[in-house]
Amino acid sequence: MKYRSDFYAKALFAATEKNPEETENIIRRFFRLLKKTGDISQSRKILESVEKLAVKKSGDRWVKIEYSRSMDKRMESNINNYFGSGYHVENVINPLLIAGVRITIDDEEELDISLAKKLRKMFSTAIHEY
Amino acid sequence: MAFEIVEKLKREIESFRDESKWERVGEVTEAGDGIVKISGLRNALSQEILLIETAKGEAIALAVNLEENFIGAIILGEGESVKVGDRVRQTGRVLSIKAGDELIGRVVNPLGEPLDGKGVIFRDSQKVKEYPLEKTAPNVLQREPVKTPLHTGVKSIDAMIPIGRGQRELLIGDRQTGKTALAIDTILNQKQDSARHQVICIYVAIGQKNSKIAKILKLLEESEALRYSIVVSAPASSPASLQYLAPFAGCAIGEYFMDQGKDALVIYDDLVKHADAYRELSLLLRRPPGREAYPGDIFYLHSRLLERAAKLNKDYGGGSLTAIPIIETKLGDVSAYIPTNVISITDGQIYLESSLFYQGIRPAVNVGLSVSRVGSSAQTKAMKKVASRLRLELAQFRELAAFVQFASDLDEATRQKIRRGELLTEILKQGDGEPIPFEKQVAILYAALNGFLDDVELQKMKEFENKFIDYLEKRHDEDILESIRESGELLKEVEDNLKSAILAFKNAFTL
Repeated sequence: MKYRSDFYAKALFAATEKNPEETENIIRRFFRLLKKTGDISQSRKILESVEKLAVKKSGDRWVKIEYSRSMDKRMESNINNYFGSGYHVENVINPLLIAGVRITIDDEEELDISLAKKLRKMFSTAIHEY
Repeated sequence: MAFEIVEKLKREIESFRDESKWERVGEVTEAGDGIVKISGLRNALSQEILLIETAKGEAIALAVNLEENFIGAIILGEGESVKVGDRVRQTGRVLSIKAGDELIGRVVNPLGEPLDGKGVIFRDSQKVKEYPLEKTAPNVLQREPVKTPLHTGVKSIDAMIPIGRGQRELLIGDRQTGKTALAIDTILNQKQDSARHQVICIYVAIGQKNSKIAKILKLLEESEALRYSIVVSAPASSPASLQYLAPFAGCAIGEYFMDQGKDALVIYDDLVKHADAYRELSLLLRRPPGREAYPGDIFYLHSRLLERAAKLNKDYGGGSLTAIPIIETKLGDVSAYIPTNVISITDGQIYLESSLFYQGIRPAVNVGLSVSRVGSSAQTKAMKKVASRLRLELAQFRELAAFVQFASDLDEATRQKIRRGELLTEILKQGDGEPIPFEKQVAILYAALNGFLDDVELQKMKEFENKFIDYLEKRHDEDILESIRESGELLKEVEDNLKSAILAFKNAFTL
C-alpha cells in the first residue's frame, strides 16, 4: 500500500470540500489514482473514512452499533432514536459477539455488553489465577 | 488435585461480576516486528500498559511513542497473533512487576512470569507489592555515603578495587575474559560473608545464550546460592521488548529488597545487548537514529537505570542496591560509544584484558586501568591495613617488567622489587568459582606483603596458599580468622598470632 487509507481519505475530503461543484470529477480522478497506486482494494475503507470525516466536520458523532444477530426492526429503530440528532448511527451484524451489543462512538469510546467480552474477562482472570 | 481446581474455577465463575462501562478504545492500524501502531486512545499515557484483543487472547503492549495521529507501542511477548483491526484498551497502569520474598530462588522473565517450572510464585496476593519498572532514583537527601564493603571473594578486587554496598562498579572487557565468571563469584561469595547482612543477589541475563544461562543456574543451584538469588532471564531468543525491559525488572526487584532495609546486588549481563535491543525498538518506531544508529537518549537509558543503585540512609530503612553492569568491548576498545557512556555513569570500572588472560593471569584484571571511586571507604580496616601497599608494589613491578629478562644484571633492590611483583602476581591468581572470604584474603596478603613468602618458590605458591588457608581453618579459626571476620580489624594480638602461624606453617611446608 502506497499511502495509509486515512491519508487518502483526508486528501479526498479536502479536495471535495474545496471544490464541491467538481465532486464527480474529483471522485473519478481519485479512483484513477487508486488504480495507479495499486490501492483500489482499500477504496471501501477510504470511503468509510471520508464519511466519518464529513460527520465529524458537521459536528456530529459517529456511532457504530454491533449486534450479534439481526435485530427486530422496531428494536433497532428504538435504539437509533435513543441517540437523536447529532449522531450518525451505523448498524452492523457481528456474530463474534455471540450475544449482546457493542456500541462504539467515534472509534474512541466503547460500551461492550456482549457475551464475548464477559467470557474473555472471566477466563483471563480465572486462567491467570491458576 | 484436578477436583480442587474444578471447584475453584466453579466458585470463580459463580462469583464473577462484570460492570459494563464506557471505555476508551483504539485500533491497531499497523503491526509487525514486535511493534504496533494504534489509532485512537488520545489520552494514553507514556509507558502505559495497553491490552490488545487478539484472536488468541489478550496481548500486552507498552505505549512508548505518543504521536499526533497514532500511538507507537511495543508488544511485550510474542506478537504473531496481533493483526490490523484488533481492538486496544487502556489499563491506566504503568508497567510494574510483582515483588516479594517468594521471588528468591526463582527464575523469572521481565514480566515476572516464572520460567523454572516450579509453579506459581505468589500464592497470597495480599502480600504482593507491585514495583514499577520505571521509577525515579532516590534523591540526595535519601542517600548516605557508601561505607559497607561488598566482598567479591576475588583477591585483586577486594584488595585494590574494593566495591561498597550501594556502589555502581562496571565490569568491562572483551569476550571470554571472565566478566560473567567474576560476577558469579561475587554472588557465590555472599554465602561466606557472614559478619554482614546477607545480600540478595539478582542476576539479569540480557540477550544471553540459553545454554549459558542454564550453566549459571546449575552452578548457583549446586553452590546453594539460589537460597539468596533471583535470576531474571531475557535470552537471545526473546523479543527485543523483553530484552529492553529485563534490566528495569531486575532493578525493580532489587528496589523491593532495598526498601525493606536489606542489601541487594543486581548484575546486568550485559548492557551492550540491552543497548542493541533498545536501538532495534527505536529504529522500528522510526525514532531518529544518532551515532552508530543508537537513539539520542541511549545515555539516559543507562543513566536512569544505574542511578537507582543507592545506599539509603537510616530514615529510609538503611538498605542498599549495588549494581554491577557488564559491558563487552570489541578488541579492547574502551573508547567506543556505549562503553564510554557507562564508564562515565558508574563509580569505577574493573577492566579485564585479553592479553593478561592468555598469559595465565586470571582473573585478568588490569589493575592500572581499573579503579573504584569509592575506594578504601568500602574496605574493612583489616584489608586497608594489609592491602594499602599492594597497588604501589604492583605498579612498581609493572614499570620494571621490561627488565625482567636482564634480572641478573640489576642491583639487589630492583631484583627484590621484581621478585616481590612476581610473587604478588602469583598470589593474586585465583580459580574460577573459588571465591575466598575476606578474612583469608587478609591473612594471605599479609604474609605476601610482609616478606614472609619471599623465599617460597613461585611454582609452589598456589600450593602454599591452599595449604596455608587450610591450616588456618583447622588450627587458627577462632584466634585469627573469626576475629578478623567479626571485627573487620587486624588487632595487634591477632596480628602477632598470624605472624606466629605463618612462621610455623612455613617451617612445616618447607620440610
